[in-house]
Amino acid sequence: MRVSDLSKPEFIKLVSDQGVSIKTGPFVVNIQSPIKTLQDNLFRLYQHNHVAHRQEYVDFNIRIAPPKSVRAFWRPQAYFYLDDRVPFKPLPYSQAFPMLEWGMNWCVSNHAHQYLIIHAAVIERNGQAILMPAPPGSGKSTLCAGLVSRGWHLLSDELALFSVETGKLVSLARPVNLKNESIDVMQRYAPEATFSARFPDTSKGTVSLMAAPAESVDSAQIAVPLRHVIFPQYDKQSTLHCNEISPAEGFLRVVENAFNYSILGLQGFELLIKAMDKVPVLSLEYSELDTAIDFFNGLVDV
Amino acid sequence: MAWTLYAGTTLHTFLKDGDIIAYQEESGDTHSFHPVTHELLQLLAQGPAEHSDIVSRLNNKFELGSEDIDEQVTEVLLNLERCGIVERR
Amino acid sequence: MSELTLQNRCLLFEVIRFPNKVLGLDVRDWEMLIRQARRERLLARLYYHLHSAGCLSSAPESARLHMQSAWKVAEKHELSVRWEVDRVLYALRDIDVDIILLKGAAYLMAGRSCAPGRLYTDVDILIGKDRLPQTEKALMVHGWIQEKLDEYDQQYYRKWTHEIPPLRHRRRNTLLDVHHSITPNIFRYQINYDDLMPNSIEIAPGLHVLSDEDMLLHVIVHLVNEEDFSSGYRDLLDIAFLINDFTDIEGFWDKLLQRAQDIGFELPLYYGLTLVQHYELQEIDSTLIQCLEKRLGLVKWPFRKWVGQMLVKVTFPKDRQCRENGLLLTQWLLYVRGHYLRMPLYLLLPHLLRKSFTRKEY
Repeated sequence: MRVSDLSKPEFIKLVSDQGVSIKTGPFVVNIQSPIKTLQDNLFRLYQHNHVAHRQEYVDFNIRIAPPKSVRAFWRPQAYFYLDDRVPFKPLPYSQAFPMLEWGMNWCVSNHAHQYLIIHAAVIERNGQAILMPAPPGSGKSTLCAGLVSRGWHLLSDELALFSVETGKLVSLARPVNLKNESIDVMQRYAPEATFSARFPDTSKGTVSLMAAPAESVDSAQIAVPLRHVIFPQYDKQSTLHCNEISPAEGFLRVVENAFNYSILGLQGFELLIKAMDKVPVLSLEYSELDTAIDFFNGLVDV
Repeated sequence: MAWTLYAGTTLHTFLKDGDIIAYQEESGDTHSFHPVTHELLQLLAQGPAEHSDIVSRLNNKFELGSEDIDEQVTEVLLNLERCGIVERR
Repeated sequence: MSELTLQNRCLLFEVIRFPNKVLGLDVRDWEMLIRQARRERLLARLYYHLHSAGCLSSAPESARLHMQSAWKVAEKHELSVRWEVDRVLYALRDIDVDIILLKGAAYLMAGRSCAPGRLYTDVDILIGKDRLPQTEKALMVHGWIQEKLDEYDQQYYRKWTHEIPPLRHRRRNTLLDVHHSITPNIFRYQINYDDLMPNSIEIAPGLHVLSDEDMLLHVIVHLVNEEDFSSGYRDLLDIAFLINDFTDIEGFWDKLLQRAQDIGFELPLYYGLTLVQHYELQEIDSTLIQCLEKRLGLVKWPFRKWVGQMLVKVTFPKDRQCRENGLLLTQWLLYVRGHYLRMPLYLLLPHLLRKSFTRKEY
């Protein structure tokens, strides 16, 4: 059963009561919250995701709710609870939905060491995955969203999960985080996509999320091999320009972006050496989405 | 001053296209070695060596010829000592 | 929810005692078990426990992956501690000094059964007071620097405790605590390097751990005089595991009693042993406890019995399935008591007030 098989009132009731258990890639997340904006956006953005059945193990029991204090009313806050514990600071009540998304990323990157987890976007086409590690400001999320709206499958815009067992990339297929100007850019570029409400005044500016298309969610159970690593850099003055990066430098730059490389130790080192063997590493400067997407298509013979 | 590889640590080295990356098991550090450093380590793998010996053998292999070669080699050795890869005798 | 969960007070507690009880658990039980273990920072330990008992295969795959992840983190911690000890020894090799390793690092390096699955925050070492300046100097040459503390905490450390403020390694960002006594200067259970060194066990050149009796007494003294019991259950398990390591060693119990008597640790020992006995974690000879009761004249001291009962409350897992009434109050009372044992009253009140205002607010 998918979220789209539930009526909105049914879904809202579930989220308010015992929570709704949604499958996101390899994880089952139970989300419980009385907060209306969260419920609304969750329903709209996760339409294609499966609802887990009762016998499935819930990986993360998440609750987002106001505190039982004066902060429920005065400058209201929302707390993120994982199994009754509060792992990080609360945020304003209005930011409950982005907090859920950031919180789910936190859950995965801290508790899933069956994967080597890199802070990167991952997309796939023709069975070939491309890893895009990038610090904030590189335009990776916009590029990722653009590719996904033009036929690429989304694995994730934030977390690349390399299976320790197989060395392949595993998909989460959750919404893409967009901020500030890129929200308008994407709404023009992909008017048919589903977008969440806008959330102003977050620590990253104004934030909105773009839902993963149905095809991305459906292909989430297929793990894919890494074929390219690209370090994107958006620069509105530049023309499309790519440079080769040496294997050693490429390897170290990917490691720099890893969440749990130090925990996996030698296993992580060997996994990444093997996964990046024969994988070209490039840096890519671009200013136009279409031109960049053409370049990506060329890499996988589209 | 003599130097030797530190027995309490293991390096897993990976060479590709002239680049050298190594994972140090006990410390969890990942290193990127300059070819000269790599040569120095291979030298020490054969056994302890005196500082002056190390300098002259590296000089011969790479024709480094710089005036402050001694200081540079010292700097490299001190760095490797800080990482627990070599020890002084 | 299974029959097992409904019957028993705390799933984690039952499973640690009887691992094969996991064979009857359903999916919701496993979620609860993982939640409880994670809260007590015992998830890696649980993995080890079930693995050793051959019960892992009955876990749902996802639950096993969660436990295995926690185990990987613990393995990394273990590697870090071993390397840290290695580096400390390297830094001090040119000075003539014998170190006594304490607490977690000692359990690990000496192979005690409470080591597997452990998480470590720092390395604790004991040095003779006369060697402290040279040791500090050598460590600083090799990259350790003083942790930045505010003025108040600096004074508190130097004057009232047994420690120089913690050292942090510049590159590795690891913490090293260098002590000359294992309890604060003002604490009634003060005992220093010179008293501990003669009985200590040398596990490597220049590297010692406390004798079996001292190791057990040390962990007991820390638990029963604690201020913060958030890891109370784990500390209790440490005591039980150590007893398990030592109980069959000939003459251990006699030596333990004698040592407790010699250094004035009989009351903490009494608390520690009665806790372990109450929870049936190890076989403790009742005559031993009766002997301690008699020597301590406990009939005259109802307050001490009351402290014993409070300790029972705070050393149980704190998950909502296991929680007892009055836990918060008990924790606060023991917090105050713990501080009282460390500071005279005229200092205690301002200190507590200051600490409560600077506590992080979430």
